[in-house]
Amino acid sequence: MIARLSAEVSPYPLTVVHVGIGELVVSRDPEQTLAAYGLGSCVAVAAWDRPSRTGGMVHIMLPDSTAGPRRLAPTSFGDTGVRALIETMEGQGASRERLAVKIAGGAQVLSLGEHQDGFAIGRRNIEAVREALRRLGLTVLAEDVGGTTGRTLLLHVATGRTTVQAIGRPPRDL
Amino acid sequence: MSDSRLEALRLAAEEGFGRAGRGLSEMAGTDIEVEAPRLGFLPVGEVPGLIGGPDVAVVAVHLGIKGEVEGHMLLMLPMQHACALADLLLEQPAGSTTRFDEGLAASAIAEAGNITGSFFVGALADGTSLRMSVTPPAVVADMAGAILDGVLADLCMESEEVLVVETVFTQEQNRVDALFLVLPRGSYLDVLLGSLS
Repeated sequence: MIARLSAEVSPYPLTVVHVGIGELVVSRDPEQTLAAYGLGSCVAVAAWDRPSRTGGMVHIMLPDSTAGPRRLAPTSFGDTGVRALIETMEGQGASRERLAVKIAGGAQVLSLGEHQDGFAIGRRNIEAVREALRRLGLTVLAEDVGGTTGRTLLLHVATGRTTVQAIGRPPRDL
Repeated sequence: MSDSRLEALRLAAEEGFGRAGRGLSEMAGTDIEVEAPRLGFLPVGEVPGLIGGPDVAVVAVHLGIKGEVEGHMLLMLPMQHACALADLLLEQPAGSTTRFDEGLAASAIAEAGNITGSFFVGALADGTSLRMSVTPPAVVADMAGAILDGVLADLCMESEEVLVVETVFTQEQNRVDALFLVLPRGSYLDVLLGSLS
C-alpha cells in the first residue's frame, strides 16, 4: 500500500511505504520512507545501513513463533521477524556490523485488568525483539517503547532518519 | 466454513445490531440507523482498514465477551464523530466535546458502547441458548491500529484469520458514524456457529 503523508505530519515529502502488521519491507530507494502506522502492542524494528543506504522495517505482532499459529507469516513474530529483517537486508548488500537498529511500540493501549493476559503482549514483544537482536549480535541504538499510547515509526531510506509520531505530541526524531 | 453456518450468524447479528440500534436511539433520544451486518474472515492486517486505516484518530469502547463464547467487541468512531455523539448524548451544543481522556464525554461514549455490546450479546444469547456476559467498557482515544493490534494479537494466538462481524450506526443529522466490530475467539467459533445452526 502506497500512501502519502500530508505536509503537516510528515517531515519527508516522499513516497511512504506502509509496513502493515506482520510485514517486512527492505528498500534502497532514496525516495521512500518506510512507515509502521498505529503501533500499539506491536513493535516495529527499523534498521539502516549507511554505506549501502539500505533501510528495512518489520512490524511484529507476537513475540514467539513457537507459540503462535504456524500459518502466520514468520515476519509476524519477534524471534523470526527480526532474523528475517536482518537476513533480508544482508541479502541486499547491508552489513550486520554496520546496522543502526531502532525500535518503537510495545504499548498497552487498552488497559483491561485481568480480562486477558494477552494484553501484556506489548511488553513481551519488546523483550522478544531485544532478545532476537542480542542473539544476532546487535544492540538497539534508540527506542521509544512501552507506555500506554500508540505510535507511528517512520524510516527515511536515504538518510536513516527515524521519526516517531503520536497523537497529541509533536513528531520527534528517534 | 459453510455458508449456511455464517448465514445463521448473520441473522443473529442482524437481530443483535437491530436491538443495539434501538437501545442507542433511545439513549440518544434520536433515530440512529443501523446498516445490515457484514461478516467475513479477514487477515489481521486488513482489520484496521475497516475504520479507514491504522493511523486514523478514533475513540473506541472495548468490551470483552465472556462465558460459553469468548471474544472482543469494539465500538469505534473517528474522533470528530465521537465528539458529535458525546454532544448528542449529553444534550450539549455541537462542538462542546473536544477530548476524551476523562469526564462526562468518556462516560457517555462508554455507556453507548455498553448498550451496543449488551444488546448484541443478549440477542446472540437468546439465539443460541449459550451463557455469555459482557465485561465493563474501557474507553480509549488513540490511533485505530494501536487500539486494535493488542486485540488482534490476542485473537491470533489461536488463528491467523479473524472472523469479523461489523455494522455501522449512523445519525445523519449530526454526522455520526460508528463502526461496531465483533471478534469471536477462534477456539469458540465451532461452539457459537454450531449452536446457531
